[in-house]
Amino acid sequence: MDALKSNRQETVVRVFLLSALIILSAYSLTVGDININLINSLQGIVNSNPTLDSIIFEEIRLPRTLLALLIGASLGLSGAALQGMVRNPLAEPGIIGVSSSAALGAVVVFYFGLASAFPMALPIGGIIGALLAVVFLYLLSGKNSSMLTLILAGVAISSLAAALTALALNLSPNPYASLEIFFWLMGSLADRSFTHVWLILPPTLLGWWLMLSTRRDLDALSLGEETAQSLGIQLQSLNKRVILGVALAVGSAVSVSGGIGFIGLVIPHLIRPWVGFQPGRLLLTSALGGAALLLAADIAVRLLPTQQELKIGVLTALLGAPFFLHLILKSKRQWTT
Amino acid sequence: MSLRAANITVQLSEKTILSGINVDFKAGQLTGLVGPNGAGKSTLLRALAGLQTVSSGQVLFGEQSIQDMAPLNKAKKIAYLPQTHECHWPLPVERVVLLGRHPHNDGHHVSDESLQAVKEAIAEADIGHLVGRPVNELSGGERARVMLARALATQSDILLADEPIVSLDPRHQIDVMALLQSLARKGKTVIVVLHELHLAMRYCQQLVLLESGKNVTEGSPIDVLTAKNLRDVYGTDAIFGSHHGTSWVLPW
Repeated sequence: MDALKSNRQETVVRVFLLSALIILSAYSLTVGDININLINSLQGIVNSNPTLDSIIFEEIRLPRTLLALLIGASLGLSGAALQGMVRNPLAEPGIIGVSSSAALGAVVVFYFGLASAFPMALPIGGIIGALLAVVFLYLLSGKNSSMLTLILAGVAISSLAAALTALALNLSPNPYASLEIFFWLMGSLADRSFTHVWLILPPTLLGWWLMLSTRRDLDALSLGEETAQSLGIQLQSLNKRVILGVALAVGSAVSVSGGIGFIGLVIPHLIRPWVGFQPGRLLLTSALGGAALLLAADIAVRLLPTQQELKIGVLTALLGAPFFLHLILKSKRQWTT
Repeated sequence: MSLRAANITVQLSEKTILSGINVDFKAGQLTGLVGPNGAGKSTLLRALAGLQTVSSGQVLFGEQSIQDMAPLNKAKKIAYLPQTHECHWPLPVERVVLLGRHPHNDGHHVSDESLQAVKEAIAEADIGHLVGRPVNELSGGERARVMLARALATQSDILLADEPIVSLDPRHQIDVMALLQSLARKGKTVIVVLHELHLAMRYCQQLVLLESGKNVTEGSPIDVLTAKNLRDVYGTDAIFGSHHGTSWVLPW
């Protein structure tokens, strides 16, 4: 019974993930087309005496690593928050249509050729796309919507955004633009700068805060909506915080990296047993897990001996899709027994 | 603290579910809501918990309308146990019971007071042997008692329970009804929806008989569960008797 006061397993997994993040971050800062020495890079920066190592460190590796941490944490946290909200382990940020709408926002920017004229138009377009998805979600589902209506509205928005993205590809003015859109949609953290980090940092942090503010309420929601309400939970407020939080965090993430799937699905599922299956406790630990997994995947695409760097979205999908199938088969077994 | 339904009417999709219900639920009493399926018992209980919007009338906690109470404050005063015992994740039993302390806690920190309340609730619901087990692996009856412990852990003034003994074996049915009666005797207002008329007769101090959303009659069990009322409302006969001075009824 005294285990209620502490959760040793959770502490162990958090310490493990934090250690993994430190090690992976250090490795991510050094590895790539050109391997650099971390100490030399730091010395170059501290002594204001730029070297090749310190320039690569500052201009390429550090923003790429920070983006992997931010985006991975956003995806892990969003997946955990959504799964807690809809009380289903198969939920992921895509179900409310935010990811595909953010992608559509960025694709529109490509389509009109704004990306080459003004690079920051891309993430801004993505964030606007994600926020528009939330507006449509509420317009479609109404003020006092049920969870089912919200999900159906999300599926409709997601389908529409995917269709419009396909339309943009279909009607793109030249094959080069199509290819650019196509590659961007696969997801990547290559060639990003500190400007991207600063641009997505405020909406990302706000999204995290909104989602983390629901952690106690998500625990109570485990017992169903009616019991949660009887325990003092205001469901509409809870749903709004999760959806807006996911829109801000995932919208920002997609707008910079393109489509990176499955992290929001896989990470909460892997971590759940370590936090006693409590949806509230899952949030922060999933953020750490998401950051670690995306960083590891980003290191992997740099190390894999492919002719050109593998897109990180492709790698996460290759790893995530079989895992998703495993989840479905496991659920099927549970339903049929 | 007493709870009062003051002329409550509930309409859903233009259908009247409850019509002008006036009942005073006194502190220190175990009140049973009885009536056939579709009589409006669960709707009345949900309205008393503030979970069902009423079309007219109000529910008063003391002198205050529950609509005016802040959700967390209301949750501290009124515990509600629904008919279904859903739990979407395989949480350990003690974690489920701890959720009853949600209105009292500010964070994930568990206070000594909450820990004590959880221990007492687990003992009262007789589920000590289930501690540590995932709630989704329990039988329906075991799960029902875990959920009862969750409601008890809130330590509210008022306890509303919708068919709390429906999936329990006879021994646990009697144990739970005795527990609810003892809680009422300690000063709580306890209101339960029941179909087990023999247990309603034995343990409740007050019964409210509903039919088609209307309050047919209310009063002591012996006055409410008469042969005429059972025939008129349930369409069934009944056998009456007495055991060691306690009256009993058996629908026949």
